[in-house]
Amino acid sequence: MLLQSGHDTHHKQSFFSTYIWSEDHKMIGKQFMFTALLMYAVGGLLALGVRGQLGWPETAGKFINPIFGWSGDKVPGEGYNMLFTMHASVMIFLVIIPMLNGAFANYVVPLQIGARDMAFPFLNALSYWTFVVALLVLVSSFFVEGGAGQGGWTSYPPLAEKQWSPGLGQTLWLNGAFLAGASSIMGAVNYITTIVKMRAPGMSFFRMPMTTWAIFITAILQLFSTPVLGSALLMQTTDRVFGSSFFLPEGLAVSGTAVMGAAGGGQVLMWQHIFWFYSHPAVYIMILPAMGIVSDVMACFARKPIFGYKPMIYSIGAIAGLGFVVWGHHMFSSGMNPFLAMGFMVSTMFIALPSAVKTFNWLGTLWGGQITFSTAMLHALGFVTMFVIGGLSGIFCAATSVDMHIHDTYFIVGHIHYVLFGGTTFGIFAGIVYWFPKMFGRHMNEGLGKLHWFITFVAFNCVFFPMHILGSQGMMRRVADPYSYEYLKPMLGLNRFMSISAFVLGGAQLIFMFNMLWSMRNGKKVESDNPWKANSLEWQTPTPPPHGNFPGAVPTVYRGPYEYSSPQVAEDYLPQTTKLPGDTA
Amino acid sequence: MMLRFPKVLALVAAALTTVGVFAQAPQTPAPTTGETYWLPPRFSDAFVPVAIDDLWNKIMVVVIITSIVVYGVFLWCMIAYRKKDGKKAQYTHGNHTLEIVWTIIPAGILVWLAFAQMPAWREMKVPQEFPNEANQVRVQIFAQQFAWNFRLAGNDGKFESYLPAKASADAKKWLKENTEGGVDNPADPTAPGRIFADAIATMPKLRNSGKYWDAADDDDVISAGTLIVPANRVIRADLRSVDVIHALYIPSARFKQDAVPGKPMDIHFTMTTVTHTLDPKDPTKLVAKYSQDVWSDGQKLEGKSQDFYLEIACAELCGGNHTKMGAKLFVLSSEDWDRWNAAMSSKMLGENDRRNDQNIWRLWNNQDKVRPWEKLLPPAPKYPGE
Repeated sequence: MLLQSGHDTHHKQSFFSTYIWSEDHKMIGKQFMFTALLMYAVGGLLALGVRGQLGWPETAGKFINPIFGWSGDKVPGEGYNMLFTMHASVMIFLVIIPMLNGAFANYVVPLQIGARDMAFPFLNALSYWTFVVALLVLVSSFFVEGGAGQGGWTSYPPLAEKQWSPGLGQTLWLNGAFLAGASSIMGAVNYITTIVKMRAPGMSFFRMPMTTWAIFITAILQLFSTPVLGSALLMQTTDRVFGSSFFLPEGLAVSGTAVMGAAGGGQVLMWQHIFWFYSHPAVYIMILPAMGIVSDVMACFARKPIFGYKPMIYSIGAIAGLGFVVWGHHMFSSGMNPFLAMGFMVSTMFIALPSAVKTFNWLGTLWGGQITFSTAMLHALGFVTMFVIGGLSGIFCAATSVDMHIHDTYFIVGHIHYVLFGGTTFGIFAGIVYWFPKMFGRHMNEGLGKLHWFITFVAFNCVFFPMHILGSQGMMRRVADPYSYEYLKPMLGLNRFMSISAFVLGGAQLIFMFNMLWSMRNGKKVESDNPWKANSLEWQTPTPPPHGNFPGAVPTVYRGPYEYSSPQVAEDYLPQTTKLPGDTA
Repeated sequence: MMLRFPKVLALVAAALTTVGVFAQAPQTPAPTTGETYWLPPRFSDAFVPVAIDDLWNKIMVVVIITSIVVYGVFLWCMIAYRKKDGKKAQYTHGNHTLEIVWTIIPAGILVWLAFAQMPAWREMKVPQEFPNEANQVRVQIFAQQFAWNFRLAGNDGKFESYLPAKASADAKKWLKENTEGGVDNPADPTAPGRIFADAIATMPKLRNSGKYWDAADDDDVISAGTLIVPANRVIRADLRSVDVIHALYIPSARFKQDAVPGKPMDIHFTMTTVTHTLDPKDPTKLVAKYSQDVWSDGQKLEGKSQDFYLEIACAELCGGNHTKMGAKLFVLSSEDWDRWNAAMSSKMLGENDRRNDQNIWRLWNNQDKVRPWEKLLPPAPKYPGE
């Protein structure tokens, strides 16, 4: 094939084309990774601001207000709204999605399928730089009059409309999210094309590693759902900028004065339907690739074929498919048609099924394995154990009538963090530690890595498990001072414990950052191109892989990626490229 | 795919589990009033909150059993399958029998849960029969940034305040001169309210005079931030919002409903535990039966103890002062409430000056729209006077 010939004899690249406008998927992957890690620090600090306020509502303002230039001793309500709105937006749009579907998708997918690069390298670079613009737009909103968006990352109108959120911040939030979505779509097009068209000889679909499968299905999800979010964001933008009223009904008033200048006739709930039509699939966009990464890491460190390879893929497919018809479970208390809620409840109950199947398959992978507890494996095991809690707490939320009590409380916050932090973030750490030797030719320090994992695992549970208790006791989310309610006054002690744990959790992330940066220069050098003795193609290339990935011809694939402990060979692994007598591609 | 004997056995077992839970499913869960464990104290033993707590406990049992199984197997793997030198792992790609079993059993449990939650939801959203009108108390709840406004109909059972028909002669004259058709334009039944509201909003002189209102028979009991209801009667409320989305949340009754602007909600809940009695000398004054310490397991919070009231919270982010948008809920016995209502209602009669600072109610009629699925409900009588 034309795309796969003569790519490795490239001309010399300048600094600019190597590090800035690089069209090499590996460099773009690293760019996404470092940018997302930087934003992980920003999002984390915002979360600490939220926790500070909830732990010490009387005094937190003394530390937080000077940073943002807010007046007074206490954190203003608007300021608190800004903190959690931007925490969620940064973590979702600028950390998790670009990390999974930018960094890992870019770095790992072409290597795993035996492609020399992405199908559209220019589009790939454009996707990264669009993401950077989105980042700048979102972050710049802190510096405009009135501050950043304050309507929550869900930005429900009418609160997010200009009559109630007059500042420029909300418009910038809309535009930033729109650009991040555009970047996502560009990436998704690239991954789908690359995976469908550019697999190495012998790399059939059912010989692809789980990471590639997960990213493939996620890219399809992104391609179908992100444009819908884009339309919602555009509609709210025209509401705010041009005075349309997609989401404004008649007869509203601001501080007792009737809203003038809005035509009315809009539907408030329409935003929620359109927004969640994207944002529920987005939850799976934020977890499926991590599931893929964890599957790869677990099979490698248990030295065992993945248990139920095809059911795992079908489960991801089922989650993605059902993910499109469950959005209404975010709206059980919104007053939408109660019969519709029954349908959403049933589909939500059923989406728990493929998740359960995946969990059991991971257990099956561990059963009878030869498990090494490396840092990457510990993170992968952390993913599985925490994801179980996140999944089980989801059953409470899915039950419509129980959800009436816990909707919009900290129970939901606990649930989402068990999935996105306990799940996805551990998956991201597992992936970084696992592929770090391939990226930089050196190992991350195992001692520091395990220390980081241990503190993160313990502190994470201390921060987020009590949220279930707070929520079931009726503590609402997004309240700056819950103790203004009598029945929530006894919650202060627990909140303070969680806040202290949150600071420990935040501090532990510094260990990871240090370990990463330090190991890039000083880590133990890899002794072979395949330090983990893994099977998939990315480990059968030089370290770090050259431009074009595979020197000489693209390798031929003879088997699936999980032939660990195969009786056919003496070693406990059997790379996809090894040709045994009788093998055909 | 050939089915071998153990596989057939497993399939049968799984199918039986599923049929078993299906057979259980349509039964209504028996209301229990036991310990609520994680949940806060409950002040209503009506069907819905009891069913919610009951379902919560059932899910908790499922979750705990699942956790024990999953974490048990997980820990076993961590201990038993640690790397040993020179040994290879089991070489297997899966086991269809096992996979079928662990797909069908959770599916059965989930189907059972799906059915188990329906009775409470049906009772909450589309009750098959509302109790007769005599056993209902009609309330209008109007949410605004950042307060809950409540209106009771008073002795005569009619909501009169701010109805266009009640406009004073001054106001009618002004409207006739300044609008086409004035307040009595019958062509558009929703227009008069809005025109009237706009008139009051844009005409400070009229508003400040207090004479825009002909309130001779207006005995509505209006309050901001306090709702007083009888026990064991259905509180049937019309919930609206004048600005952004709010959510009416009563943790002690497990009740929550968003107040969506432009979309009036027909909601109902029932309280059963009496929290207050009447002052024997003054039937408009309430006496608390408990102190607030009830929330902290009897542990007195220093300086925080005060007379008890139940709380209504706003659960949907509604702006900068969202956290301050609470309201108090008092529950009287049915007889006490009748006495209180009569006393308040006669006290209110003819007193319209108080409305000047509560004129949020002039915007109430602007959102007279009916949910499209309302016709699925048994026909509800219109609010008298509307």
